[in-house]
Amino acid sequence: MKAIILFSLLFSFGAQANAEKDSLIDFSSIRDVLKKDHLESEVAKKVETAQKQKTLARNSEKAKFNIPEAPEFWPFMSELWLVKNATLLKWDFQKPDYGLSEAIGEFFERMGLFEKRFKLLLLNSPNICHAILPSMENEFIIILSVPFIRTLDLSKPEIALLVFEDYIRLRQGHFINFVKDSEVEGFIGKNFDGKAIPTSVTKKVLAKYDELLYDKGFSFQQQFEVTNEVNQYLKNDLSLWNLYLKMLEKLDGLVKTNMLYQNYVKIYPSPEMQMGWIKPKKEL
Amino acid sequence: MESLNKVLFIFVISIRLFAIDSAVSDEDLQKTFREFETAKKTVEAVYYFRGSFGHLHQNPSRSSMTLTTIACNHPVKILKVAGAQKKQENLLVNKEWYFVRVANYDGYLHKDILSEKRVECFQDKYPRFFESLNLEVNDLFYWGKIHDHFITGRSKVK
Repeated sequence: MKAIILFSLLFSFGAQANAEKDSLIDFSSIRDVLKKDHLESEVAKKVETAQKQKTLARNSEKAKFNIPEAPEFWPFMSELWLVKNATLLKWDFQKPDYGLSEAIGEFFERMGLFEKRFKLLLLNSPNICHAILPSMENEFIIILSVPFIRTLDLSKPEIALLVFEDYIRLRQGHFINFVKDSEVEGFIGKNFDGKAIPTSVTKKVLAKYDELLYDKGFSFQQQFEVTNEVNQYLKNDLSLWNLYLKMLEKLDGLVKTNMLYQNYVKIYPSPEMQMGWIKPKKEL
Repeated sequence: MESLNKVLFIFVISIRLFAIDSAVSDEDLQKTFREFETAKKTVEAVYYFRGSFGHLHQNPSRSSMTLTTIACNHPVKILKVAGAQKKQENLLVNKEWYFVRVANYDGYLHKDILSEKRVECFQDKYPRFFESLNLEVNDLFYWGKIHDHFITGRSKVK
């Protein structure tokens, strides 16, 4: 009996020693085999893929905090301003098709300005008579007051001329230069990863739109530059040049006689001076 | 003088006939809407709304009543009305409007604001910036409306 117990004890010790030996297998001895199986390169690939996915997920999360770059920022802000001013500008009203988009498109073609896309929004309010808001490259948003057109009894070519003048104003950068200061410039295209996006900048941009279009308007110098450039374009077509002069006369008459449009000269100074700038100087 | 009278008579008659014709056309249009409401409709395709926000209209007109408001990339079922091939040329009503189903509403959306494929939406591309604007329901309503009121155009190379 004693012999049996002794034997079984010896056997169990032997088995334990074997198990310990098994758990300490030296993999270095089979490294060459593993290399031949491409298991190591497979592991490296999987690690790389996981790393890439992690980076992509991080970048995608970071991108959520992006502020749009200028080509997307300005059309968005212009639309937002129109939405916020819907009740003041009264653009949500039923109107007939005046055929203005064709007239404006044809006028730009006549001026040699091709592939310019525009969105026209008619207003049922005299609060703003006409303006062009910045949008994408080669695209702009026109706002035009129907009461203003009716009061002045403007024809389609005259309306197209007004729009053209606004387009030159936009192209010379007077609108964006007024709205964009260093803070706004730093905001556009920036990333606010992990931080709260400041609301003050967008509010400021909208306030600048208000200030420019309702109150402050453009300076005499800016208006002089715009009128000069328009004049240069129109000199090539005397019928249009005469039409421009006539339209300025109409505008001058309106701002001097109609109380409702007296604010017009604050925004676009001044039709009378514009006429003086474009009329040929009399020789002594 | 007699010939002038004749011309005037013909002019008046032609205006009256034109008026009757227009009245019939309007009535026809109304009949079409009624037919569309009651007829059997099949889903022909699924398009996606590509504006920021938009309105589903009761009739094929920009000033028509709003049935519901939809946001960018909202899937829209394009409906074909049984027996209306002539009135619904290439699935378009009045050559400009799709008759569509959005949730439980059947209405009209302009062809210019629908896309056959999903589009990249501003609010998805810049979600945190969009959220920071804290837009109110009123703003979203007008944002939908503005696309109905924009008259688009461009100067072309000839």
